[in-house]
Amino acid sequence: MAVLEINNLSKYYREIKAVDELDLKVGKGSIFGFLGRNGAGKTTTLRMITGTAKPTGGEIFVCGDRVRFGSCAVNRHIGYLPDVPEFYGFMSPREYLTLCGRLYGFDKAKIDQRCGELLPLVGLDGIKRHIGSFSRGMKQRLGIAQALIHEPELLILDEPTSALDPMGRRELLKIMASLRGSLTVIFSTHILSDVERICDTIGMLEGGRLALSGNLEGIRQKYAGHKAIIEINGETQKADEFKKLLSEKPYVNKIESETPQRLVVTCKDLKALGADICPCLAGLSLALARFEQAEPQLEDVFMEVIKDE
Amino acid sequence: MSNLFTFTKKELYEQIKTFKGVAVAAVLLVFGMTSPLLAKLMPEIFKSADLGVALQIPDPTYLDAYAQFFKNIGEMGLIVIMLVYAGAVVSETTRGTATLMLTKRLSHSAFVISKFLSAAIVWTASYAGSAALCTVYTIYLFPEGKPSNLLFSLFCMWLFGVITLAAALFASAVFKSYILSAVGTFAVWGLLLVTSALPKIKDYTPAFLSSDNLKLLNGACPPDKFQIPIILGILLTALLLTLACIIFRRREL
Repeated sequence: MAVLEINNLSKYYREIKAVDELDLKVGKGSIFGFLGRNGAGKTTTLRMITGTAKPTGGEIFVCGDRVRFGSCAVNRHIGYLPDVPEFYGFMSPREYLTLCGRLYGFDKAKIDQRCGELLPLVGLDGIKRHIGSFSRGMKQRLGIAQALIHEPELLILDEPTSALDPMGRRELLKIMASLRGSLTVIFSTHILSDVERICDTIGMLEGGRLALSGNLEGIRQKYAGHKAIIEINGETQKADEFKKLLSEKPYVNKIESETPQRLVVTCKDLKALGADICPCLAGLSLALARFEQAEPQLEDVFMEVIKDE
Repeated sequence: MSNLFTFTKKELYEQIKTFKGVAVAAVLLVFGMTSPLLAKLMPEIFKSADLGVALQIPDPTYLDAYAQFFKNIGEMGLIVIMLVYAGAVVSETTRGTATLMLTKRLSHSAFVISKFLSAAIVWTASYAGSAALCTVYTIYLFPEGKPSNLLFSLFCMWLFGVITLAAALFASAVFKSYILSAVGTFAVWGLLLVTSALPKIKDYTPAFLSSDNLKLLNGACPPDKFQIPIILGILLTALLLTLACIIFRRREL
């Protein structure tokens, strides 16, 4: 069963379509990377899931319950960390978590138990000073703790690592990775390396629509075979001629060359490329040093999807 | 209901920790303490200030002490209240602290009502302390006087303060900036005061509670005359809070 199901969801700000007839399903237990460039509609979608933004059309279900704008009924299933979480600066982390626990109707024993589990998990155990003096990274970590206080089925994290330094990012990703299997995580970001590190499924939003979605490995394989690295031994002039010959082939999309002897070829048909290389090289008296199918990086997929859209 | 209690408790804690509630209490207590004193000393002050004309100032009475008290509370006291509580909701929405609370099991209505309740508790406690100080000082400084309907008169001013708080919470839930919220609060308050100057309705408007409550002390106005303003004041408070909840619920965060 899908923990999150979005059907035909739209959100218009006057003429601007922030989210445009979006359909999305996120399965139980997955860490779902919600990708898209700035302004693609990621935060708007997440706000609609949490009931803090009103959809223009469509419907959202979390654990089978329909999300209604302005209602807090579905929030029992959701733990939410916005992109810039703001807390009551006069409280200590424990006081804040206690307030959150009380809002879910927990008694003192349950709150103590959850604080005892969560504060060490996010590295804030024993810190008694006020949240107002916290760094951005500490606030993000407390944000995760408050989102987890009621053991939600769905954890929504909106660009949690965007404004953190490398150390803070690493710590946060480690915490997020430790949650694998215990709940479903939706993790919005435009930092692709973070997604590659911890996500197993992704959805790529472009222009308010889902341009790509599915299993990360499947997507990698789908986009594999489109790129090859060719290294040759020979004179620069002849290498340039070889590059020219390749660029005339109908199945070649793009050739990037760091040096004349090293080419990165993006093409539609890798088999045809493989078959044509040797005759071309032989004709120019060049030797092939390396021919390798490049492992596609998420960034390449991202750029390709955005280009297509 | 338990969330309403939890969030009201948090609000009261915040008012202590951020000194907002302490500031309100301090201002009101100062008014309670100084009003009878000012009434007593006013003739002396005028005499000592050489104005160049001979002034005939009647001896002050307990009525002057309460008049001074109601004037201070009804003007400066309520202005302080409005400035402090006009930001109750809007400060949380603009800072973003409301988002984390409202994405938990706290309803928009409980959020607004908790803020109203905590403000009303601070107002009630501060006003009660202030009124008690004023009464004690008045008895001490003007032992001959015996006001009638004192508690009822104090209640009328308290209720007008509650209406003012509801106006502040309403504006705070409707507007998206503190400045607009403060202007909105003063606009509602101003409209109320204007109604007390309109001959046909002045005896029925909730503003009557603050403009004529002093007349209860010397028997110039019977308590019955306050029935309709009290009922309308309670209805206005309920209306402002209901509208605040409905509008806030429809607002995107």
